[in-house]
Amino acid sequence: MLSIARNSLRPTITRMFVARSASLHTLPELPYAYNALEPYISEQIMKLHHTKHHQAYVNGLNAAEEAYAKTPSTKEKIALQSALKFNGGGHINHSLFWKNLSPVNEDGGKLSQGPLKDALERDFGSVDEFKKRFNAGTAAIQGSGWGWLGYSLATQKLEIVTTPNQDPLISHAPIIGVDIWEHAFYLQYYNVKADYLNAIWNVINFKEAEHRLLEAVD
Amino acid sequence: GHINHSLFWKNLAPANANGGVLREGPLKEAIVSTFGSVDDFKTAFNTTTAGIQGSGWGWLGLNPSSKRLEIVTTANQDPLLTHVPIIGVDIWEHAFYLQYLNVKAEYLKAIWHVINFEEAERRYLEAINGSKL
Repeated sequence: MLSIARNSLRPTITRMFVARSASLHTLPELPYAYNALEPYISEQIMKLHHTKHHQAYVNGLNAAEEAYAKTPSTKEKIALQSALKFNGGGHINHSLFWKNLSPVNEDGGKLSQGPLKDALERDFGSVDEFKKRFNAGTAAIQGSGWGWLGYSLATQKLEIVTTPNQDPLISHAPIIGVDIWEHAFYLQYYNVKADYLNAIWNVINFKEAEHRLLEAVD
Repeated sequence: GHINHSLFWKNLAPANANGGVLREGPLKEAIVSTFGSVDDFKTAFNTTTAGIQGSGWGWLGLNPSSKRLEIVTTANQDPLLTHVPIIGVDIWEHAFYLQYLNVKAEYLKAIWHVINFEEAERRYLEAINGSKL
């Protein structure tokens, strides 16, 4: 179940030769152009979000891991744990996020007949009901965080879950993640979170989501 | 959220209403004696506030038992309960993003030009003399 998160950070073979002995995380490339999600997510947001915010988590994670590997002190290791969680979570979450978005002309927003659609209808009644509940749950986060569609191995159901700040989703296999930190929408939607959450469904990559579900169910 | 923002508006003031001006007096003395200098205080405050992982607030607070000024943070909209709030700075992204984008540090540097030190000193004296949590 953690493999989806783990795999999202696995460096390519090329990068492994370039990396230092301590694993060096790098910013994954966006699978589409910065303006490809317009008009639903602006180019300005995508550029800042990817090159500034996500990059900062990558840098922070590398620094925290390097310090952690170098120190013999248990106390120091414990002191570094919040930096590892915050930056590591930020890197995991955003890596998943870019992949579960796609441009409209690459089937962004399209949910074809198949196991994911079946599971959504089974667990939420209808796809629209799922989106409504997802948006309500995500908008209600008090502070920064993420809304998730997750697959629970325990109940074998799709469930809507949230994580605060940059906490990664650990209790469920992440199927779809939506960033509700203000930097994800404020420049375009201002305080009107609900409009962002309605719009983003137009660029959700349901094909990637279904791929994750099939992997999790196995 | 209501408590924090109500305090926030009052601890800001326009430059032409003494925003950013810290006169000689009990607050300035306390800051200098606690942090070494006003600049050192601002640097420490900004570093701590920028280090918040998520949404939250940076505070200059008075520790009611030790009567010392301390830099404290609260997460999300948690009000400051452990200290008497002297100065609060909102570091939720909505407080600065439209103007400073991701560059938190610039917002934190700029805001000192409009901090209402007169209001801060009022709160400080009230906290030192009375006991208002």
